Amino acid sequence: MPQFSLYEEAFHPSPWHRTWAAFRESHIAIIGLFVLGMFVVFSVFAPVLSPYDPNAQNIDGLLIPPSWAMSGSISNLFGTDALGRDLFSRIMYGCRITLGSGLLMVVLAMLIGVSIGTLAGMLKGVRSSIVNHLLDALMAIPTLLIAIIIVAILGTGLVNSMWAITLALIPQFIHHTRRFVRSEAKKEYILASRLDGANKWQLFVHSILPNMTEMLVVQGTLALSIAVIDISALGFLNLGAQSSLPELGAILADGLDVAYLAPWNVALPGITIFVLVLSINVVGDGLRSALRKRMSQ
Amino acid sequence: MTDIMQVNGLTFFHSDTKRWLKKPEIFQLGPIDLSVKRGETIAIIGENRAGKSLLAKLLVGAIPASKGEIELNNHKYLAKYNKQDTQQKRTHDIRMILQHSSESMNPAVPVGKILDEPLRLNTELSEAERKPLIEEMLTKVGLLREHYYFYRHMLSDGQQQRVALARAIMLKPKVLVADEPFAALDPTIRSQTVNLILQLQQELGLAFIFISHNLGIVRHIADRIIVMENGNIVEEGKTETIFRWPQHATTKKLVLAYQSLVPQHTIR
Repeated sequence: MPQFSLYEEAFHPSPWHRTWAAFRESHIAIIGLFVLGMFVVFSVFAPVLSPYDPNAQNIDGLLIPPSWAMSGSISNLFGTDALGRDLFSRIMYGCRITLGSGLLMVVLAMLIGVSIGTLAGMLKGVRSSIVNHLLDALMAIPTLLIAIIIVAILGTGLVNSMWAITLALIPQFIHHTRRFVRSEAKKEYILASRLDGANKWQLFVHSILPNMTEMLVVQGTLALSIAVIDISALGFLNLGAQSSLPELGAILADGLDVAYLAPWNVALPGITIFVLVLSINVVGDGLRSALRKRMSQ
Repeated sequence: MTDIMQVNGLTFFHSDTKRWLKKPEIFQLGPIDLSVKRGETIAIIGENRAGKSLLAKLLVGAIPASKGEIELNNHKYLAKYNKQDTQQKRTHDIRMILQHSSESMNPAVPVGKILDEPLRLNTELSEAERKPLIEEMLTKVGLLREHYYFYRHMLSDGQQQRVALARAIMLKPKVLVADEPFAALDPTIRSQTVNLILQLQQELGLAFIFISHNLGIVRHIADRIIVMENGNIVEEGKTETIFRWPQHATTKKLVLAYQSLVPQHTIR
């Protein structure tokens, strides 16, 4: 027992404080976060920020070049497309649809995948194996094919393609969660908690789940970038979002018709998809190393 | 001094005959009979693979035994089953310090939460009532109240050992089982921990069963010694008796090995 009494530290950094401090050290991750934040702001506040209605057609101003070109004008920042719609507004709404649906799909897939994976990890023997490989058949088929099958049955549309991609994302989560729960359950601190009288549910919530953040962040960002690419690919192939809907892939497909006349109609949505996916990956990578540093400094 | 724990015919049988193209592995522990008095310190010594750790785990119920019963304060437990309600009582009364204290701490959970767990699961106290208890326990094992917010990687080995100890005595158990609690510690920390345990033993009157390879410590703190070989107790007796007149071959070997390390005049 200490013979002297010390003042207690007034401030104890919470786990999130520590993660943020470690995250801040990487400049690339911070830049990625700013870019991703910009996309999120554009998506959330698109109705307020966008200068035009994304579907309003301006017959007088077809294929106006972007503002930095010689014949461009500042009133249409990214120019207009073949129907005279403002490209900047369309891309802003496109981020909203692509990023928003991507996030929705990943959260859904994560919830389903992690619960099934945990179940598989906690079960033993054949039952565990069956649960684990329940959705494995989906992994053999590319997302695009699943989407085509679903679209063939239910018809084209953004929601139908979202179901296809969500289904395709789930098996990865199941496998990673099961493997993680398995390896974690063998460790001694689980035994220690078990000796405290914790049942399986309590073990999972209080002992395994806190350790799972790193895995979830890695898998989540990976899944998010896959989801964004897939949803725009399906939009581009006219299987997902239809061309009236401002979705990044669909905008790209629209621009393809006039690619020689107005290359910005292809380049700008393409660059947007690229930067979006890149920033997601950079932020995910930064978060992962920050979480790892938090645990082992 | 009254018996607080009585172990009758504790047996563990492990056979691995199903292995294909491999020698069947058969290991049997026990039957073991043991009685523990209040405030007593018992040391379990023996060679590797003698079943010492297994015995410790059977006692606390980490592994279900095949046969036998454990009687604690006239309350019988079948060692074979650990049903939730009897288990609850058992976690209260027999607690364990695991062999690797660093691995027995969850890296993603702060010390306060780790120490909170036994209280949360085994008592009816509210969160506001639990926190002062935890802080009191932290100072009791020689840590600071701040350590409530610390994570595993911020603590040294000795501090981790203290946390493991605090976790074990959080519920004021009657029996404390420790699997090589002093193995990974340097001499200073080791003697600190030994003194700490002895002090707590006096305060709480708990019986302390520990496994050790360090016969110096065993001789220093144990009241009784159990010598194990191949899953059986081969010799049992008072510490001085065992050290002066070892009967069994294994005991002789162990004691001889110890004496060859220590200058003769200190043993006498």
